[in-house]
Amino acid sequence: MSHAHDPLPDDLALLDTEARRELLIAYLDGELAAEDALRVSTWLDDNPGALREVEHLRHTWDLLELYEDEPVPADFAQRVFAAVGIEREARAGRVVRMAWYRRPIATAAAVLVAVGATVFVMKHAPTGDTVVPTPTVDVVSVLEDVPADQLDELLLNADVLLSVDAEALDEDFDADSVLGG
Amino acid sequence: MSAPHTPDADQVLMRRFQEGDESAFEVLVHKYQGLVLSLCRRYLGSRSPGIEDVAQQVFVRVYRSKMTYKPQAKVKTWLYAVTVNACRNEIRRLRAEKNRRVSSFTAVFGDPSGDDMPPVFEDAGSPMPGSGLEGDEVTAAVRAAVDQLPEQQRLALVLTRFHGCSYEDVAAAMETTVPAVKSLLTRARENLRKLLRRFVEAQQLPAPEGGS
Repeated sequence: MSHAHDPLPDDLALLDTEARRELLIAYLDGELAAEDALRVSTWLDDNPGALREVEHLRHTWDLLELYEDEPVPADFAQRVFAAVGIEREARAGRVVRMAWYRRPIATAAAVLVAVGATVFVMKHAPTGDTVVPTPTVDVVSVLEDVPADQLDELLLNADVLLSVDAEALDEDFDADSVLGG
Repeated sequence: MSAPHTPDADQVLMRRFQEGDESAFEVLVHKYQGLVLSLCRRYLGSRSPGIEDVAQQVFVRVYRSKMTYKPQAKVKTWLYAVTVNACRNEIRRLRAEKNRRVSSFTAVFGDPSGDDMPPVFEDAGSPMPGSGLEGDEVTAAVRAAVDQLPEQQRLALVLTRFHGCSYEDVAAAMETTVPAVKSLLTRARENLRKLLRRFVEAQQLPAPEGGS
């Protein structure tokens, strides 16, 4: 249970009160490397004041034994599964709804984008050298070529990515880890 | 060249769960429900309402955010982090609710001058009757003392004392550093010693020198 610790000074008595207490607590928690723990132990043998402090800290720690935990309610897991079931159904419901109304909306949006791009290019084309605009990607036909089941999946994923902050992550999770992973 | 990572049983469960095996999630719930409830109860305070709802919400988050788990991490540590975040949200919610209530009260009745606020850092429990320790009284005082600790100190203490976490695991769960955890624990233990002084001294331990 030990981990890297700042090197101890040659004389532990030189530590200020805060640092000494921190050291003694790490000693009690078994967080010191073996050789540091041995040094502290030896030092305590010669320092009754510090030893009393350790005993006091240990005793306070031992009192916490009285803070017993309560048993898990027998139906707790079932309640969790019920809550998760509601969550799962809500998500499934979103997929069904998207399947019928998102497709025409997406198609209409694609048409608008294509028309807008066409108008923009025509208005800004150099005079005397009229360019017939051709969208580099025909979004409508691309969407039309996507099989229905994959289109649903595509739109669902788009929705999940857009709503990831609100729905999947709350404020506590790293959005990058979700989007990346 | 590092040795290949061998997943432990929990990591295998999480991977199965990420791949769509719902039974793996059920195993995780049964295995860790006690740990999650216990952490919620002690972090939120033993008298806090809605502890089981928060613990339930932790598992819903685990279900919803299973893909945020990275296979190299210890499942238990990840679960601690999810639980800590859920509890923090609940603390923020309760605090906002309390502030709203206080504001409404102040608007109607004037400034209560903090009279309705619980006493903080007073000695926990009533004076000891002689040298005899009444079990229930000491237990209540210990609970009250832990509940009175500032939020971050309480969390660091609960994770180390009741969940056996190393400083590194506590730092990971709290999204902080090991030195910060050490500092929190030092202050937590010092505060506890003050709060429980009567009970410690009743067991005839001499007071340490230089202790404030």
